Amino acid sequence: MKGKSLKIGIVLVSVVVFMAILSLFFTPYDPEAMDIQSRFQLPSLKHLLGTDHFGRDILSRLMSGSLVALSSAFISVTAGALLGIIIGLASALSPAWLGRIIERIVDAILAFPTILLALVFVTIAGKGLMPSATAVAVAMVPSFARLVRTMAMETKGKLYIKAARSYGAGYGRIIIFHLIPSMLSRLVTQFTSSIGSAILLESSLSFLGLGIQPPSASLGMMLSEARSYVLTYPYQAVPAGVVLLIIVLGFNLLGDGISDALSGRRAVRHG
Amino acid sequence: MPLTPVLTKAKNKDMQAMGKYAAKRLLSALAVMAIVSLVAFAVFEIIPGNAALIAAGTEGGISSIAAMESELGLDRSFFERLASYYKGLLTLDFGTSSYYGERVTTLIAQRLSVTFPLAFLSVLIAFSLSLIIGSAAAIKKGSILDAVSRSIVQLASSVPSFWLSLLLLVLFSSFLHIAEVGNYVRPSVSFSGYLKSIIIPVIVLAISELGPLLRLVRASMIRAVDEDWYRIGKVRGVSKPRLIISYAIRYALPGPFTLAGTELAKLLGGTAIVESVFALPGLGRLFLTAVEMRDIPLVEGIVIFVAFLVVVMNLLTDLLLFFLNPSLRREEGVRA
Amino acid sequence: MAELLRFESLFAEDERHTILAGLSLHVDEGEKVVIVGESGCGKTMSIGALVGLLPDDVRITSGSVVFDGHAVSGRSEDSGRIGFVPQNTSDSLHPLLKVSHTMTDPYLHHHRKESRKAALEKALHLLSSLGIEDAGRVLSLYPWQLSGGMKQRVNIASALMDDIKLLVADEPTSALDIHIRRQIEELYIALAENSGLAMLIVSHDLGFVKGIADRIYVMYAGRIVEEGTCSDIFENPVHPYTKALIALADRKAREKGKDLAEIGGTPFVLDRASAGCTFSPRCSSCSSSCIGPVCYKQISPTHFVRCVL
Repeated sequence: MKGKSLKIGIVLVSVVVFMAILSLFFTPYDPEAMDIQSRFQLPSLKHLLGTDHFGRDILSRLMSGSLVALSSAFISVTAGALLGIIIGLASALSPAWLGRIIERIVDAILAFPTILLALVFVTIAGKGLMPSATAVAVAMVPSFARLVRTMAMETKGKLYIKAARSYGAGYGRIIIFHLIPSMLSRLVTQFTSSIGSAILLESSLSFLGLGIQPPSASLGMMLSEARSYVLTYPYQAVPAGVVLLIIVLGFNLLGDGISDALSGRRAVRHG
Repeated sequence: MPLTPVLTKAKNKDMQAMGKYAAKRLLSALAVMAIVSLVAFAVFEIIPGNAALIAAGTEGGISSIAAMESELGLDRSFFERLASYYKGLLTLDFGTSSYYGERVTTLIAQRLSVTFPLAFLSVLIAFSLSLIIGSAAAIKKGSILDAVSRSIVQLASSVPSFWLSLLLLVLFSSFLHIAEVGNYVRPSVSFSGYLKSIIIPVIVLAISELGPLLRLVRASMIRAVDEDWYRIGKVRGVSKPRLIISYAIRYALPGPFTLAGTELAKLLGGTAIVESVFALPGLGRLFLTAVEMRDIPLVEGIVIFVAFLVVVMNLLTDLLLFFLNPSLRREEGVRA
Repeated sequence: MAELLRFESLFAEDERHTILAGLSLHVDEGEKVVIVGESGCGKTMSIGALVGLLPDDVRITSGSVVFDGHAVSGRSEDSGRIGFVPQNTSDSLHPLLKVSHTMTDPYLHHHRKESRKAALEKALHLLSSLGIEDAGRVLSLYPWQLSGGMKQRVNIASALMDDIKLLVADEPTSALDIHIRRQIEELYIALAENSGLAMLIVSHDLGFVKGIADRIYVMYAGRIVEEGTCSDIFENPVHPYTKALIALADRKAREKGKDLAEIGGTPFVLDRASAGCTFSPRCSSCSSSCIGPVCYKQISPTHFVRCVL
């Protein structure tokens, strides 16, 4: 059972990543080229996944849309994770009272609906790819900050850190050589699952018309456009949604799988 | 020794512990609220671009900007604004919406009457389903049922709610002709019409809540049935329903219950997408409009309100758990 | 006397180790039997196989356990006529259930015609008979309100609620502090003398064993190495391991409070049962003949030993 989610996750993620990278060099059609003569087509040999309301090739749009989704999620989560790690470390290493205040704020933000948080940020920064990617990054910060703080507080009390302090290692040295390595496995897990939720959040924002703007292809926006025609052309809602589900499911399974594999390895080492 | 005096004495002690605990939790909730409101204030203070400029719109002249500035209090100093902000919070006055021209509190109250039943029903359904499926899966760990429940968790937490909304929309209105979409019917007008207009949104929200809740129920139940007292109760011959309900579920419940509480609070502020797909005039749609129109007082008011809900819900679930779980009272120093 | 319980060359293993390597023992009706051995020798697992509490990853590969004419599976749902007092008594009580519920729930399930009131009265009576003065109050308490000795008594009383034929106790006195330990030991001894119950007790407290046992099994590495009556074992121990255990207990009694070296050598890791004597690596009188198969020898009508010497 354990290996299963890891395997399925790897397969799903690599299929999508492959398609996305392929779109840099090759797509069946230009994803933005309209063809009013052939709108709302169902899958055929000419258009493998059919066409949308402007006659654009859905497969091509999905491929370039996935690339946007994956790369922006990757960048957002990286930025959010870095900021979260810094905040988490700072709160763990600062005086206890300050650390607790930071912890309180982080907890309060975590208890807040993510979509609301992102929307607040969009209010401040406006619509578009950059603001929405930044909003996603901001939304990722608290969970990393909490994770890192918890782990750092656990590790801080351990003997080898105390030993390092006693022979005069500075904070920088301790963080780089002792704290970060011991946290790495859980950070990787968190990072992987965060990619899934980042993609979900980003696509929600573009579905609401607050993310990347037309005519670029984005999975959320494709669904938002499909929404207007969904009762007459139900097929329009299928492809982008399935791809989105595959990406998010893939990363979630991958995250769980990595976490299982790592905890399994730990258990064996102790046993 | 007669039983009654001993018991009343214990009851009094319990009440004392309860009061002490409630006071402690209330204080910490107030502290969190103070911090959160300060953060919210700071965030809206640093909004780039003059809020008055946004509020007056790009077409407004210099004079209307000045008028807006004084109306929003932007011509005053930082501390004056902070003071009036907190005064507003304490008197439950979040100001006036610049887009609707109505009081923020009135708007929130109106829209909450749409969102609350939606959120409550969804969490209730998700929680009940989680309890049934999660318990069964934990008791038959490794069975097909368990595998199904794990798949449900993965799918429910990965499926985009707006896509699910579209799919169910097509299914229910084009194929099954059950639901009414696009016009919200007030329950006072027609109750069956109301149910038809909220059924799909409730299903969508319930599915999205099923992921975290089911995952937690299964995990807590697995821990419960692995406890010594469960295994020993089983071999001593406690009846199966009693073993599952009073022994295992009762023990496993606090975590999922707390989660359901916070999820409810979250949902009250997080239904924007579903409300927008199904054209429901709830709090989420109100927030979207506020964001779209850059209606700062309204955005700020809703944020503070949702934060307040989250804090209060946390407090309530904690107090309820304390009341229901006698062993927590031990921490308050009551020992027989 | 009629035989009540029999383990017949029981083998059990988990993913990595053999846990029971051909365990055979029997308990007659009304007989008080004690299993002695170091921790980890399989004592708790053999009890688990009897009452149905084997961990999920442990499986029985061969052999059988027969209680009162019926085979026991090792994971039975309901061990009805066996009363069981677990080793860790604080984890065995549900933290959210009052003592009254813990005690009466199984009883009421077995005796559907009985009223709750009758069950409570029986519980009250049992607790009082175990030396609890305010039994009524104890019934209305939660486990965390009880002291260690009280929890132990509640567990014994719970085991006695049904009409049992055999009382099984796993290390009944090990987790208690010294003066409560004496009380509980006396309780068991009184129970042994006054009731006709058969008892199977696992213990490594030889002082207690001497006071209660009719017969003793010495267990090492998942099988019995010596069995005999109380006097067989204490006055005429044959197996080097038994001798070492007794010598150790005597030293402990003399030099109270001091931490003494245990029996020399590292405790066994039982990978796959080997043919020879499993104690030989630690045995001071080991010879080349210890590598070959060891049979179970009879020394007197009641005294058996698994040693080539």
